[in-house]
Amino acid sequence: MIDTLYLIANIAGTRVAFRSCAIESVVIVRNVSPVPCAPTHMAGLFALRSRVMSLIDTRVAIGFESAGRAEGEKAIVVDVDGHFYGLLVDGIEDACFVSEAEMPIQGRLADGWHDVATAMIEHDGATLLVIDAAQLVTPRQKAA
Amino acid sequence: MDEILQLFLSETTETMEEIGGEIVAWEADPADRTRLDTIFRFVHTVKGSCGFLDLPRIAALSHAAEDALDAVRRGEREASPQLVSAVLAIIDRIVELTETIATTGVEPSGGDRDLIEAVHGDGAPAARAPTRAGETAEHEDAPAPKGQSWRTIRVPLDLLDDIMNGVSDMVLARNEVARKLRSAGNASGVTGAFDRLSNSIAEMRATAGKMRMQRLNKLFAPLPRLVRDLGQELGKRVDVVVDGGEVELDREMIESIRDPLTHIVRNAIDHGIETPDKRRAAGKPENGTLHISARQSGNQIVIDVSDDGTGISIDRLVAKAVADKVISAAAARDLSAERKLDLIFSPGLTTSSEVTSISGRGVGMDVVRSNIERIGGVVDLHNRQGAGLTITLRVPLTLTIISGLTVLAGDQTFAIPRLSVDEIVLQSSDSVRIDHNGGLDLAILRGERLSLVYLEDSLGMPRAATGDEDRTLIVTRETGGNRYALSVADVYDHEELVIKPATPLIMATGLYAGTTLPDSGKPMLLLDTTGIAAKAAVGRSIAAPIKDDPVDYQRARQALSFREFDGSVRTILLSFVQRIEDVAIAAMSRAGGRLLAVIDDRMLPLYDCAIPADRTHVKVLRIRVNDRELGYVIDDVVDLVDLPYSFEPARKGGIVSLVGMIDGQPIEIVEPDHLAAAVFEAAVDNRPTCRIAGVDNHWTHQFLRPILESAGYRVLGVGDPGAAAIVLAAGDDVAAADGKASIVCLRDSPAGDDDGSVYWHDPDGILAALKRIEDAA
Repeated sequence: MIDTLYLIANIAGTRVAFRSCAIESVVIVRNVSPVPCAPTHMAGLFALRSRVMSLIDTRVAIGFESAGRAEGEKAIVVDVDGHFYGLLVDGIEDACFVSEAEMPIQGRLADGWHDVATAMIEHDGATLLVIDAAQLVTPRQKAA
Repeated sequence: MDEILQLFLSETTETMEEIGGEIVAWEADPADRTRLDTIFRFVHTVKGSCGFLDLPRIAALSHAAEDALDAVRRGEREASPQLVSAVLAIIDRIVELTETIATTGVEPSGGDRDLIEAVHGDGAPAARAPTRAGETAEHEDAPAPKGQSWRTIRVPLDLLDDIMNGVSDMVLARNEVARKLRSAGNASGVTGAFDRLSNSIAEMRATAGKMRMQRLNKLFAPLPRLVRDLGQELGKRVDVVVDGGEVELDREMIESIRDPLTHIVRNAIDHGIETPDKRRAAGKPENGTLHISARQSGNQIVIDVSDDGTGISIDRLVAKAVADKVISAAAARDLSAERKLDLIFSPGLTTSSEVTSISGRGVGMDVVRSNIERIGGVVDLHNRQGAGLTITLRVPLTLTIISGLTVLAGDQTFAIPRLSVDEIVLQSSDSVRIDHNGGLDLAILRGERLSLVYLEDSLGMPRAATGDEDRTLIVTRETGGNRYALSVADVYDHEELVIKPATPLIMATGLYAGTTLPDSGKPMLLLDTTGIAAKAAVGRSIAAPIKDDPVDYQRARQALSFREFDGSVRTILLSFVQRIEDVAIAAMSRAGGRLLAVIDDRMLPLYDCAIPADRTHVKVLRIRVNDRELGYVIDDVVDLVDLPYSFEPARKGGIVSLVGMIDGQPIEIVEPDHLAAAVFEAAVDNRPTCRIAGVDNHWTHQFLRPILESAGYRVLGVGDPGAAAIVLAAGDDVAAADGKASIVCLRDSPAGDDDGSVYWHDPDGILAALKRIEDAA
């Protein structure tokens, strides 16, 4: 069994895991420009060196109220289809190796989570949802 | 050394490296078909390239090898070890020669007969070429530089992009350091060192930009060959003139215009340039000319492809468009000439009457246009019916760097491509009037009525409290061509902006064309002026009546206003008026059922009108519509005016299609297409018929017939059915005349008899005789 590295983060009080292979880096976000008329979970644009990235407010993407912070916060940088996105989360705990395999999700999650969570893992005596970054970036039809 | 040669050398060397293993493997197993094919392709490619490059030795060698390998491929020869060696010897010699060319720049003189005979003969090579091992040894003896003097390498584009990104990062870091240095004051004398660093970074940025540039030669080089091959296939002879191959363009742009350009060239040969027979008949040189030229104009590259062929036949184009249901017949009739030409860009349309192997597969100019527009370019046509077509491609210098204008909306800055900005005006300027009516905002700029769009409204942002007078109008246009005014809180500088594609989430708003990172390090959005217009419904609300208009009033809005004999004032678009002539009443006559004026020995059909009897002279507007000229009799010219933007359609029809307001007065606008229809169709109805009997030759076809037709006669030839009112009878063939027709006898010598006959090479005399018959009737 090969250990898989996950990044554990906190979104709206829920601890979640991102597969580390999907993550470029974790950065502090500065100089955010809003994007008028964009979907609400699109918190703006920021630059990492010369690359311009879209900032995604994961709380909004999942269906919670925005925490309203962006400038100076940490964001998880992911690459989805050749575009870079920064994912704003409520807290970033740690990266850790998990030796157990991912498990399918048992039962039904609340709507917002259902769209973005792809599996569950067992870590440190707790069950964590594994989040698919691509789904956060382009959420399926949100309650319209 | 010229660039094509360099390219040939590096490609040949590269392929040699790739197929080196194949050659060895083929040597081991001559029956291996795949390896044989690979080697065949190599010599074939080399042979093809030599054709351009004047390398007779390599050409002869590769040709011989190709022949031999082809025979093996067709099973006519066996891949005997002797043959294999002979071929390998040739390949080795080619490599040797390319290496020499690389060092000296010229193909060394010398003979290769031994090798060529060896590969042609079945027996052992007459003089066996050095083996590969032997050759290697030779090179070891002479450790000359391995011929890399062309000094080019191939680099993946990704690598170049990485370098560009790295350089951009450096520029940003430099800016940050510069800011910190400024705030710290000139501490510890770093400033000088920093300036040097800063300059080298700037230089490096410029160099990195150049790495992506490539000469258009790369794009143009294959075209002469393409034209030659197509010409041969189609039995046409075409000379190609290429200019401006030294102009440089971003590599990616070159790739993007390769297909459209090839398509245009194919079209020009296939549909444009005629066969030598037709060209001779049309009085053109038998060889057609295709002129391809490029030049830089500002931050655009302009590429012209011009042929001296038939041009686009507007009538055939329209007929085809109607047949393909691209447009209804009625709508087509109302189009201006320019709009008719635009039909060539309709999807799935081709003007070629039959599908050929070259083009006419239904993939046409629409694809060319969309490919060019996708990279921010424009396609223009200049049609000279019967004399050729020029297609102009305008493309931005690079995909990634554009000249942009920074504007303020609310408290955020945005970029607008400079190319889409026509004009910038302060809203407080005297030349602007702003009207707010029922939620509709209009900007009236020097009489032009423009939709007014507040950028903040489009973006759903609150407008700053300051009044309208502090704001600035940017007159811009959407791709449909409609101009509108975009009101912004402020306009800052022009800047060269590096544009990055935006994420799908941003593109989905339809308002942005990309993102950019200015030196401040805070990302900025590039506005899409077409998307903003669409969201504000600009095209539908105001510009719609103009857009549906048969004549493109927006491009040519200057009009001539004139007075009719009844005192009313009308206008006509100036672009249709060729000139204004003073014509004596004596030079006007009614013939063939219509009013004609003789101007400079030519007949000009006039729009029929009642001329007051007391006039001796009148003014005639010479109007050109769809390549035909007609005259419009007026009392006098009043003024030059700018046509207004809003019109009412005229109810009564006829030649007046619209009514607009100028200086508070309604004014009728004469529609040139309707005028032409009235003049030329009226003539069709009651044109007298004239038969040319007894003679049927070049003179009657090429000269007499057009003269009679332009004088208003319907002309029948020798075998044509139908009754004619007048017969032009040559010689004694009067018997063939139509029953009751009046007869003009033609004689074949200039010396006149008194029998009323006319010399048949005397068109004026013939017309005069016809006129006498008309007058008598």
